[in-house]
Amino acid sequence: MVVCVLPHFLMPEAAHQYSWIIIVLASIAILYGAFATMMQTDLKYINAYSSVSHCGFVLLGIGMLTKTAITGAVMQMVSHGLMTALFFAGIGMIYDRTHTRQLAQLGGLLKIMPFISTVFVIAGLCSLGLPGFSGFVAEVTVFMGGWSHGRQISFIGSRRSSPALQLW
Amino acid sequence: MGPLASNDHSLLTDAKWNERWAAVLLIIGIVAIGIAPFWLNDLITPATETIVNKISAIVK
Repeated sequence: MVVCVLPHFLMPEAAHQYSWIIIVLASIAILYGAFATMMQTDLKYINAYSSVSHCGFVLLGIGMLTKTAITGAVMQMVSHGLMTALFFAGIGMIYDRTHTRQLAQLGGLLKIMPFISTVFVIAGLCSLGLPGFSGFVAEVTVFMGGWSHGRQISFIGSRRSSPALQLW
Repeated sequence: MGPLASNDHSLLTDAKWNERWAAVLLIIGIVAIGIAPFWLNDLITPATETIVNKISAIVK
């Protein structure tokens, strides 16, 4: 956050002129993180790569240089902190019992561990941006900020990440 | 919902009370922001206004 916002104070003209570079890099991070997540078989790697995608939203919000988008970026930081903590808590609970994080070896645990399974469902729904959870509020705020700034291409490009996570 | 991937897992137990407590606290935070985000928005907006005003003042 400090690294991204400090140039806005020190070099506001350059930040305005070169914000498109940040937007392009953020869009790549969002898409790359989402598709890389789909390829993982380890629970921790899934969480780590989805974090790349979520941090791309933070960078996208900062790059938009609008009040709404930057507010969304900060909201995404808070939301990401909560959902990642929940994910890692669930992963820790499962690993403590099964001594594995490989998805193929974790089938059928809903009947044995209903609470931990529910934790994963809630964290997953928050991660994909379902309304009613913090992930949706943060991502929509970033998109609204981008839309009001007239960056429709970035909006459309970034929107592709959520269906990717939903498919996963 | 499917069959157990390993028969060893049939003896496992669900979360203990301390694990449940930690998870429920995080879920409350996630749902609170998701349902009523305006309090968080009001906390963040003054800080972001300062940044945007700084840029707007120089870049016209």
